[in-house]
Amino acid sequence: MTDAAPDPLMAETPLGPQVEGPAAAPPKGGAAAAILRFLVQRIVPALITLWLISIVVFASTHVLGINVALRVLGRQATPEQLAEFNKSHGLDKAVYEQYGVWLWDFVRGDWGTSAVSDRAITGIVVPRLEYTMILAIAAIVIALPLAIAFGIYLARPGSRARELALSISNVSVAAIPVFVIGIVLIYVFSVKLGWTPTDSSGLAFGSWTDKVAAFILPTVTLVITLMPHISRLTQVSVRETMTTPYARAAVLRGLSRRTITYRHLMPNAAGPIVNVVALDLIWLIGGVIIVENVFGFPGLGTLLVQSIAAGDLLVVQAVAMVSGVLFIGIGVAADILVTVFNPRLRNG
Amino acid sequence: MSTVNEAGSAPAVRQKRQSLWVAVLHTGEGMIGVTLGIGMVLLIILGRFFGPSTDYNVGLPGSGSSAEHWFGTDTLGRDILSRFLHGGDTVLLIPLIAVTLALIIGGTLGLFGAYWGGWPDVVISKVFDVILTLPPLLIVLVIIGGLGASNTVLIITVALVYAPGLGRVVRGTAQSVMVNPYVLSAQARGESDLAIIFREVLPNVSGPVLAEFGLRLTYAILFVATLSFLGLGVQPPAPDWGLMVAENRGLITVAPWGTMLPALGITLLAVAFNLTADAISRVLAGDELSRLAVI
Repeated sequence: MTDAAPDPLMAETPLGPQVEGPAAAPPKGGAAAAILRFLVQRIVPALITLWLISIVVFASTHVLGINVALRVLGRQATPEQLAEFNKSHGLDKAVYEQYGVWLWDFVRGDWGTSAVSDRAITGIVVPRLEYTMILAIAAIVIALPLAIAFGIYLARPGSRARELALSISNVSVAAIPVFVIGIVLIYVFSVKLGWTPTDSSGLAFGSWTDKVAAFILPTVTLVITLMPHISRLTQVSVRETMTTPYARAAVLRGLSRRTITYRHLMPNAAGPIVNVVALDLIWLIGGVIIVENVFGFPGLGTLLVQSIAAGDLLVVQAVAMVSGVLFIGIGVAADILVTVFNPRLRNG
Repeated sequence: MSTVNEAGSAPAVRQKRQSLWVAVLHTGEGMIGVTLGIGMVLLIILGRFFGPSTDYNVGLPGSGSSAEHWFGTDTLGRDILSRFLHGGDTVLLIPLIAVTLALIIGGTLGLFGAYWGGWPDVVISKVFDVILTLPPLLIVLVIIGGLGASNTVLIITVALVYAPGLGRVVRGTAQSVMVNPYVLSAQARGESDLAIIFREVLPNVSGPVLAEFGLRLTYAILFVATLSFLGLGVQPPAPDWGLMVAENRGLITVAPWGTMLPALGITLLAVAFNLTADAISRVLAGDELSRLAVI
């Protein structure tokens, strides 16, 4: 061994700038440029994702050898009707032209009419959008602090038995299908105990207490599904910071566990957590679609599945696009909020 | 300098794999996961031979547990236990085929990307990254909306969703293997690219890829069962567990087993694979973080 690996404990000065020193000097160009760069870093990837979703939506509903006119007008349509539908919807033009027109119509809010209910799609989507938004945001606002607190708790090294029990339960909960969690909750709290309504139909017809009650079980289900991943990630991230030289230094200086955890470990562990939370919010779309269908919650997820089953393609397109915009928007917003509250991340 | 025994011959690889499984079984969660997994797979394969009847045992619709129908009957009066014992294959097979297909597609791209480097690697990695930002369930639902629900559509779409994740792990692992002396010496011997990829690199990426495969299989089981539950996966009259949950949930007050038994089956299967995958990745990582932590 000629070139011995540097001792990790000696590699950095324990009381280096990452502990309490001033933050790294901001990049050149002033505050405005920094804010701009920050926004670009977060918004451009989100726009690329949205653009890709639009291509998948357009391709799978317009291009992949499916006769849209036949699907929308039904089997009884005459050839003249089909030709006229194709002409009026621009389906006789080149594919890229069709895509452009379609995307522009969507951006302008011209989403067409439902083949099933013959109503303007905007009128069907917008009220459901509000409910879905409230559900998703309620789930995030409750799940995030809970999951992070639980992750910090998990990160404390304990006995082997405690470690094993906690990790087995975390991994197991992560593998329970969302719809099973929802149905078990319905069985226990609605059927057996009678505390909550068995479905969320009260949202459409009931009084305001019924409306609030309609949110309880769907929100709880989403919180349970969001917990394992975020808490596991917090655990790993906090534990990684526990092995760093400045954590050792803090222990040696005799600081309390509470001070070390919240002043020294959490700010440094936050970066990876935030990145994954943004990704989890994209996964949350899936959770919301499932939960809405389990509880008959009148949101975008139920509309999407019903429209797919009914072959109402224009509604499918609109709901998929709106869901994409909504959840990626929530992801970017959460990302920006967390960064604003945690100055350490701004230059990272 | 490298010594002769670093030259990764086949027996060395086999021994390494055996010790990986032994180590996995020595962790508590690996033991539980593997045992539960073998139990569930046996139930799915052999269950049909132990059913109360090989034909569907029809009785009064929506009845609860009785001597004749241990777990009650469904909306059409079919015996829940018989359907449960016959219905596990789609829950396991469709995800297994889809994830294997994903591994073949993603793994091939990742392996060649790592081997070639340069712009093909950049293009492949970017495509993986971009697909990984798409919300899977939304995308698959939209594709099923366009193409209709069938087992083929299900397998291909699920494979496409999981290919980038697997491909990224294969690529990353292959890249770290590529710098080993045995790969360099194979290149120096003048062996062909394909021979090096399949004989030197592939056997040595198996550990991390196995862990990722298990994880993706767990996700795919949940994913396909969910699609079936939503009515957009496996179609009736198949006794698929996800479909059974959806069909029988209206009867949950009078005959809860029709919902709970298949739900339990899906959950146990997914939990088993998730525990196993987690144990494998912990063994590979050496669980160093928990040993190094100071507080």
